[in-house]
Amino acid sequence: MRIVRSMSKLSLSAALLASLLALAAWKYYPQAAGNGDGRAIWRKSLHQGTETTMRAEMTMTRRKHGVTYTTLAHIVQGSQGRYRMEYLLPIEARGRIVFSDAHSNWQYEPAQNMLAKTELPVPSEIKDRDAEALIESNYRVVLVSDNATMAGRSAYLLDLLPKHSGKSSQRRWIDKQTYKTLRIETHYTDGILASLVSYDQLALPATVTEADFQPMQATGIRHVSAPASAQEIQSRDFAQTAARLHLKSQVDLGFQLVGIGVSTLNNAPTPQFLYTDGIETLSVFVQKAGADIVNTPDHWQRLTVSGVPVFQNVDGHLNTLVWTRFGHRYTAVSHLVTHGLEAVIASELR
Amino acid sequence: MSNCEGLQAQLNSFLDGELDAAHSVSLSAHLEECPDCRRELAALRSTQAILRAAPVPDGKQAQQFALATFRNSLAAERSVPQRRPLWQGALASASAVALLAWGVHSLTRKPGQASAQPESRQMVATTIGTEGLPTADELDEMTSLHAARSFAISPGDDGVQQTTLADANSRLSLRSR
Repeated sequence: MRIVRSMSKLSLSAALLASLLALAAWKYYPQAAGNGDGRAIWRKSLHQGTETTMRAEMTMTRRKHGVTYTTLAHIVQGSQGRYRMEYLLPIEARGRIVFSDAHSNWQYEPAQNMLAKTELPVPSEIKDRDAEALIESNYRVVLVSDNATMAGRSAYLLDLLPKHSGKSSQRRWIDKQTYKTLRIETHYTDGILASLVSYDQLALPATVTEADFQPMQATGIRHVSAPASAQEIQSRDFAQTAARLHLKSQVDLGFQLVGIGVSTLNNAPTPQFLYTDGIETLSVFVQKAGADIVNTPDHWQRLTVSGVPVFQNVDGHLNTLVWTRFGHRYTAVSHLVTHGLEAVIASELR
Repeated sequence: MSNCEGLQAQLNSFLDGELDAAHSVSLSAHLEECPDCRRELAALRSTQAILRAAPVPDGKQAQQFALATFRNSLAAERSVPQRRPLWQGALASASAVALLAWGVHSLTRKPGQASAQPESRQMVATTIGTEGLPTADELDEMTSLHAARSFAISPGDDGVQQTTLADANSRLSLRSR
């Protein structure tokens, strides 16, 4: 009898605990059961939000290998992908101006008084609906709050939670009036802030003119231009083309190959394979292998991934992994957090 | 503009002393009047100096090839045109397709397979990077290319685009241009 009573107490306690946990989960993620609202806000931020003009001061930080890198710039955003950024930080970039009219990208370097024009690549075949489907297959979009405040404006707070373990999550503040993204935090799986993009001193919507996105006319500026790189391979041929260079079209963590192009690097044609999971992107460049990598130079670390020696660059903002196989040298660059990039490359090497 | 473009194509030969006397005189006269072409000539000269100073372990043939290829890419640079003629767009597209085909082909060619490329091209490829790894300039360029392509495929996500571009541009130094 005593045993039965003890078991009843135990069951009651378990039920109580389960109820409390459920309540806590419901409080924290009120839309977790049906996150249709979160998805709808997310979609609007992708379409309506990007067509809203804005002037702001942009701060971007990225934490990597114990160092925080900070970029600070005045930014002007027009519709249809037009933008202008004037750099304040880092110090070595101060005075740099980067702008685009959505067809070409210009970069002004004050030290050289040089304006470099680069044609933007031919847009990929990936369609908005395919990209959205990819995002939804890889992330849960959760509305955390519809009553947040950011940069003095009323905002939605969304969480983008990866469905694959080992990937970072994102928290985004979306302006309620214009659906513009006001702040993005990317967190490592242990919760540490990996990167941050935020906008302050906002004018939203802002007055912009064509002159904001056109080359400056000052005298003495040297103009240079680089030809557009090729991106002519049809998506139906992706798998075959990748296989010829010992790469895959589908890799771990939900990444798939969405573009193949060739640019000239060090006077040699260099194929670039672009993968995405809908939010994060990853490029793999393929070159002929050079000398054997015997030593590990400064700013590099040697790892072993799927039994293959892989070299990781520990300098700069992006994560970079390099390996050689079958007479080729492969260089993967991505914003993906380090262990995420390693997981993706491990599936390439298997 | 078209006169400049025609003359700028002769700058390489002019620097190498390979231009005949009549063309040299004509080009010199034009250079006295044209600041754009003088800047182009200065850029070519400095590029030559940099490339000549750089160690190329595979010898003079590879060095000459690197120099010629780099000159060609510089010669393709030009002052930003106001409007690009239709035929130039078609030519650029055709070149892009050819470049793509060459890129994939050159990397997938089996080692023993007969090659139509000059031997020096393969020799240059082996000089890429330091100790077998990409150089800082190469990483900058790859970062920039990654940003540009991510921009093109990103589904309207301006936050992601700006993050990528800001990162890329904070690294890109244009040292190699």
